[in-house]
Amino acid sequence: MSATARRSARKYPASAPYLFIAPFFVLFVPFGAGSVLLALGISFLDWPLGQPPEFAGFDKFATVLDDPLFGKAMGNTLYMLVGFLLALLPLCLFVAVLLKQLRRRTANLVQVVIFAPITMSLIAVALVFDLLYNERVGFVNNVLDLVGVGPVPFLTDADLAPWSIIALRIWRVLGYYAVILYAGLQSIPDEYYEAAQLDGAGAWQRFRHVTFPLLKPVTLFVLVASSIAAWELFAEVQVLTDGGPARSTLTAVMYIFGASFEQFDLGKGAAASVLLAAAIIVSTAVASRLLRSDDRA
Amino acid sequence: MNRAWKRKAVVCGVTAVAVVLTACGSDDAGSTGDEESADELEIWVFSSSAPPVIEDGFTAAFPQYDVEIVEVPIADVTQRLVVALQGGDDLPDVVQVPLRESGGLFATGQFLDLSEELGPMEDDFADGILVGGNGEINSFTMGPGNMGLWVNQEALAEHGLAIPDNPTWDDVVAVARELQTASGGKQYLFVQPPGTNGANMFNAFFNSRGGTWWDEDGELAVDEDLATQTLEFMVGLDQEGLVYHGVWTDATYWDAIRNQEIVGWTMNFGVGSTSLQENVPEQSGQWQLVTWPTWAESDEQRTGVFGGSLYAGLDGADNPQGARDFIMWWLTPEGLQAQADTLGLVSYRRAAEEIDLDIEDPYFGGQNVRHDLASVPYPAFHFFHWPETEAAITAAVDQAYAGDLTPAEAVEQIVAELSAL
Amino acid sequence: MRKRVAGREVTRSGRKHKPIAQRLGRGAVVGLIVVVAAFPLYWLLISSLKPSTRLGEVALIPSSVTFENYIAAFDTQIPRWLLNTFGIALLTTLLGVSVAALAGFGFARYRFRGRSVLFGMVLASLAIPEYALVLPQFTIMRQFGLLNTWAAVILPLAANALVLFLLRQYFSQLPEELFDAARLDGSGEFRLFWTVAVPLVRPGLGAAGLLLFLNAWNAYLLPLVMLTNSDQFTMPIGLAFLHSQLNFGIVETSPWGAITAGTVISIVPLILCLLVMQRQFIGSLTAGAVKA
Repeated sequence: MSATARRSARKYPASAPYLFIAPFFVLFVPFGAGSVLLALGISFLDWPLGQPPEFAGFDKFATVLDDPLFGKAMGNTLYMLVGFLLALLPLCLFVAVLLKQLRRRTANLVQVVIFAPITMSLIAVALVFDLLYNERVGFVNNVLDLVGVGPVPFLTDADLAPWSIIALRIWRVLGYYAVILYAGLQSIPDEYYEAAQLDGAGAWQRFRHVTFPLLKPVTLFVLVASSIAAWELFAEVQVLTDGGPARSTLTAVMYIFGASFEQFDLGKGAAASVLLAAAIIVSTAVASRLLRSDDRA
Repeated sequence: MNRAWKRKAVVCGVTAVAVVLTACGSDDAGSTGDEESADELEIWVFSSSAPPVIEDGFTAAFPQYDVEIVEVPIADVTQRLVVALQGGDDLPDVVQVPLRESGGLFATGQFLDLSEELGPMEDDFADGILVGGNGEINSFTMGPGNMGLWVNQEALAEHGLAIPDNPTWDDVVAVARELQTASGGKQYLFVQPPGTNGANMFNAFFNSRGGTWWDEDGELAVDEDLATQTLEFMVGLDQEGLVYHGVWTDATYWDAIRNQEIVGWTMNFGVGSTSLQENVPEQSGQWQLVTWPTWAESDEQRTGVFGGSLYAGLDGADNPQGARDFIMWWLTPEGLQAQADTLGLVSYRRAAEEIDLDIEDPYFGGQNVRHDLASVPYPAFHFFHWPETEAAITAAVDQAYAGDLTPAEAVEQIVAELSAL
Repeated sequence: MRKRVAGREVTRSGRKHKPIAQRLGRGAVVGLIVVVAAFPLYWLLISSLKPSTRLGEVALIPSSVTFENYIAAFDTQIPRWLLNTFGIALLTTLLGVSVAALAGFGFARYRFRGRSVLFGMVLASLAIPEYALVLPQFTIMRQFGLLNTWAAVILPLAANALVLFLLRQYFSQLPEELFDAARLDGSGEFRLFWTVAVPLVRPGLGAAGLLLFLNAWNAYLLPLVMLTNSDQFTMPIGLAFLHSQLNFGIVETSPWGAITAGTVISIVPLILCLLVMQRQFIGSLTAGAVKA
């Protein structure tokens, strides 16, 4: 074969990509996609506990959209999501860049420490934060008391509780996302920085023109992963505040959980899930669009 | 990008329709579960104290059953049950259910009707003890949540205070005020937990005055004035600074009891006696049970319900006879003894004829707290639509305590939410 | 090796020129981050060492130390649960990284019919909260007869769309010329993947492994529904089980001691693993690897 012929032909066997993706899909089709489609199907059903399901069209969607609690739950979730992301993203970028500047040995140690919180079981997290947040014997309130502030009702005040949850979540995942970003930073060749330094670029300029653009794929991943996690906030809230006080921390997934497993209305729960999924898809699309359009600028 | 998303949307839409069709189609075929041998009996329990007594007592009495006990966290029982019921098979034969969640579950009609067994025994149980849905009797409440006022009388005596005999709530509040003055606001006779526990605390006070949210047919039946007055009473206590805010699940709650910050609280038997004795053994002899105070001197003494649990059989499971045998076993002398040993309170009125319930408790200075607590029944109460009802009460009570709503507005908000169900 | 030392010297000499105030400032910031991150962990540790009657003690150093909680923890099924959790998490990680790396490579390096639809489907599946998926997953597992087996937890967790997304991002960063060169040398496609691409995305594989491991480690709902016997429980379910006894007010002794001690016991080996994994994935990476 001549060189030109080889170039015009495909460089690899046509089956290659399918062979690569096949093992993943062997798992994904039944356990991932299959469940998603079933869930989607359930949202169109009226399926009382233990009885055969009946087709209900969009009835369940109407029920959910009519329910003021669903609006409240979505609103709370969005509110906490925005607060969470606005604090998390700059913080974990900052920590990742900082890690990169440390000696590798120090960086490794710091990484393990900041990463440790996510390995802690949620029940234990709840206990520790309960001990820290407690109005009487909480460490934080006792420190605040020394400077004459408080006691601050971290979890029992409707305005403060969402922020106390956000703080806990940031503590829990900051190191995790920072380490993922840091791993991404490791793939950026040092030469780029050396070149930028030779050009006289300052720390911010190096971040702006070298780190950020080259880190974009990983940043996008962190943004998508953390925002999906924020949309699906559930366990922390359930353990610490149970959605209260006065429903100030009632989240969308709590609503879904309640509909499915407390009111036994699986159709309603699935319909709410589909609506939440739509919100997640839209916001993820917007987020990736934002990061991409930035690329062109 | 745009086109890609559009294409995805179309794909999703088409597959959704396909799935609805298959989901509907497959259900008729899928409901024939694999046959389990009739001798197997699967029981889901959440009480950690239950498995040993079931293994020793029930299996000895009914050796023909091959009993399998599955422990499920209490918070997840219903969820696991919903998944199993909706899945169609792999159902347990018997499940232990929290009383509060029984209303919604029994309303689904998926549970064994024990009217034949329990119906003739109706007089042997107090008002609210037999429970069921759709006109059936599905079970009886075990370890009923009769509420009492638990008092550290020795701590009170240090200030020269005591709760008078047969007190009204006014009497108790008067003591609480004196305690507040004497201790400089550091000791409390009332506890209000946050969240759903707080809602259930309010609910117990409300129920003790005859209040209920739903009647036995699942119709809304709220005496709004009564609910408002009750909430006013409780919020009033809080505004006076007479209430400790905390809950017994807090790791620090028992410290507050140990330090004699909490010297009195309204609670059921499980937490009020068992947990108290286990967590604060050093205060043995200091505590006393005051049965639920009345709202006015001439009132008949009645308490409120806080919870309880029950065992129910499932219609769709493989061994209904085993389930019946198991549930009724709890009313045999061995079963009653097992109830008394693990749950303290026995709801079956004739239990005293079968087993020795004359138990003086040294922790309470020789008082027979089980008997005293059980001797004051609670008015009928229907845990219907409970998750939604509890959520509505919790939100409104939170707001009332925070001062964002007056008690009257809070009750109005609850009723508005419940009417929308 | 030599190159790495040289590279380090470049940065270190760069550092030398920085004013000491800046270095101190950075040290202080790092110190603050470490303290904030570690403080609740420290609180967990000292809580696990306090007698159960002193859990509410505010002092930074506990006034008395006991190992009774650790003894209590070993009296429960915690050791067994820990073993289950490790087993499930490790197998999930191995399987999950393997399939996602292959698929990530496939999606990143090839253009093929159905690529964007398939990938879009995978991404879209992320948007459905797991609470909506339990029931379908339970039904599917029953069909496969996998209920009450580790597989019922591992298989759904290993098919992780997020991990696939992450690895695709890593593989797509690699320059095409690398592969062209290897193809000219006559390498097959799997060889390209294994000898050219995989070594270059090791930090990504590490991150993916961590993600999968932690996801399985912290998984709650799936094992809860799929595993029904208490000797099959994973740590999160086991601890929730201990905790739930408390909520019902039927518990004889406070489970907090066993919960705190159990959590410490479970974290320590994990942190050791992290240190090892770090050397494996992140630490060994030479900075200039991607420049070729």
